[in-house]
Amino acid sequence: MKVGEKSKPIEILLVEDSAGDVRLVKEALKENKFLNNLYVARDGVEAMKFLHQEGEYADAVRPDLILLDLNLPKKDGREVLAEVKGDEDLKRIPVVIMTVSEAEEDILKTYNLHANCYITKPIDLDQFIKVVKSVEGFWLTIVKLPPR
Amino acid sequence: MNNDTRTKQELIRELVSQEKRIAELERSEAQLKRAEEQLRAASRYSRNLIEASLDSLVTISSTGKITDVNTATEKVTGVPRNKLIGSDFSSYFTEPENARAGYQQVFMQEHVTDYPLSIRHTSGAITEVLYNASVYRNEKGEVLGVFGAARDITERKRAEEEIKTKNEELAAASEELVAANEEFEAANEELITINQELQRTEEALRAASSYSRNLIEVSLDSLVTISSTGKITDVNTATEKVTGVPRNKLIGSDFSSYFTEPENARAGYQQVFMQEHVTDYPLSIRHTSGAITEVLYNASVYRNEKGEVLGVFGAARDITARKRAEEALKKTLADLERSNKELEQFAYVASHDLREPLRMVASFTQLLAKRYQDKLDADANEFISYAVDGANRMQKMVNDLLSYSRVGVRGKPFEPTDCTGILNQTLTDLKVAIDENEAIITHDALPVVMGDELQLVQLFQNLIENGIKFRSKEAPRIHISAQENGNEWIFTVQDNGIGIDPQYNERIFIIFQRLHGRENYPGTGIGLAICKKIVERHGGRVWVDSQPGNGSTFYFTIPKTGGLKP
Repeated sequence: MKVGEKSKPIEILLVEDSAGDVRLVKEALKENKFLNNLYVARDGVEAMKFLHQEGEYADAVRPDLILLDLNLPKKDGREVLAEVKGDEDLKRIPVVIMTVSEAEEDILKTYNLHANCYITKPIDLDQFIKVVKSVEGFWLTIVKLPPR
Repeated sequence: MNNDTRTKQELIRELVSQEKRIAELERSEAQLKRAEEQLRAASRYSRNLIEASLDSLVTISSTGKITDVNTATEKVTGVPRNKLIGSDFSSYFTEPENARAGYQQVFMQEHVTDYPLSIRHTSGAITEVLYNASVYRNEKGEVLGVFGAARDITERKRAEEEIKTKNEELAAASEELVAANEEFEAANEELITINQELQRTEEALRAASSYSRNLIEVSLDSLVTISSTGKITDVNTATEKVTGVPRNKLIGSDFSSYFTEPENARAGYQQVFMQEHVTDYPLSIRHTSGAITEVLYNASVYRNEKGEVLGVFGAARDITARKRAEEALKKTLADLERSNKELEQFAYVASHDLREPLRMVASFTQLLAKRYQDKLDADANEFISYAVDGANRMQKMVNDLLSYSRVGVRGKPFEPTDCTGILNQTLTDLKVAIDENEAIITHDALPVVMGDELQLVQLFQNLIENGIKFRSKEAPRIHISAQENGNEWIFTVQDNGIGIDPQYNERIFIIFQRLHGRENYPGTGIGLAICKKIVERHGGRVWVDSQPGNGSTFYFTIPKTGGLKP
């Protein structure tokens, strides 16, 4: 299933307020051989603007995958998730929750809001890199994504 | 004839005067007898009150010898009156030192209140009591000794106290009097002798009566007798003090009117008649100044010689100070609990939120190591390796601190939990360590207890893991068992490991305390601290018994409350 569209990069929107985490995700993705374009939104409001192609994001691409942190300034990850999954057009985009929270209520709530999967950020660097790599690998090589 | 007549007349005169003397003596005897009766009644009354007291009463001489006791004291010690009197008072307490200290205190301060002691019965049974004691004096005001009243505060069980109606000494004296009376008509001389005897008896009775009365008056407890119609018939000084009403006003008035809740007082009074006595009946006395004194009443019926109930004798102990102390203690405990909760919450939040910045420090030092190790000089490599090591260690500690604070913050409600199931779960979780160390783990039947399943697994796991981790050269052998001990289960986890120096018995349960270098035994030193927290959350205790080189036995208790047998 390694498609001929390998040349066509995958578009990823990372919604994350921590610069350190953004860098770690970038570093992890760098180690993967897949082509990708990573866009970063630093809060929930910015993320929604990007997805709705508003303002400075008028030319933004539609992402193939959203990596979403839960604790965000202005509009938190749960709200972003609810809006994406409540939007007829956006709801097909897979949303991967990446958070430090291990709380059962967070896990339950986000799945109830139709999150596609929930991942707790590993504390160890190697584990973190491994998880980001396997998330990308899974959505790129195993999953058939809906057409853009 | 004349002589005869004269002699006769003289004889008649003599006879008349003799008769007069007899009549006088008879009159004087009758008077003395009446006085004696009155005194005897008064003495009997006071003595009856003392004997009717449910509190153990005792008088002690200035040399520490018991001089008098009441029935309650015989009962609580199991020692008869004749053995008690003349013996050292302190020998009946579990802590004679304390008893002697209290006794000294009475002399120094005139009285002590609520002095706690434990009396040992000859059967070995212990009765915890609170003493109110004061000095008592003769008529000249000289201190004769100490009068103490002990209230049973442990078992507030029925005191099947029978009121003693006869004073044996008085009865004996009375018999002597009866015998003397029979001999009365035989000789005038004997009348005089009897008169003297009567006088002596009267003095003895007067002394006995004033002695008993003194005891009643020096009592720090408010004492009262109430007639069958509810009128106060007698009070002591303490009752005047607590009500603020003088004796002459108190006597004859309705007893219930001095309480904040007269209804309750009357209910208690009725209860005495129905059950012969009440113990620790709580009431509040209102002083004329408005001040309230909270008291506990011990009360019983008292009878005349024929056994007819005359009324109620009540002794009230002021518990205001005790209650205030209890409330202060309760408040302190509540404050402590709150501050503990806050601290727990703080530790939880802090360790939870610290993980984020720490993850950054650890991740980027690791990344630094990964990318630049061997590209810089030897110093840089060393610095990086210390930074990575420190960050890793701190991560472990923050995580452990989080687990520790979770015990209190994130605990689940208790449910019946089968400890055999818990142990099996634990052994499954520890399979790798058990196999690697060829450990042999055995156990007896384990009970079902009320507990938090996840935490109990963690508890067993930490203790068994320790047994394996701190192993000796021999293969680890660990045995788990549980014994019933009253209202709790005592669990033991016994190993054949390296053991612990007893001087560290307490320290090992403190968070992040380690006895060994990290190189030999890894870990942050959280395991036993978590065990302690889990056990304490379950209402139990944990301790260790160990000698270096002889293995360790860890004990912990879980209260039975609702738990089931194995």
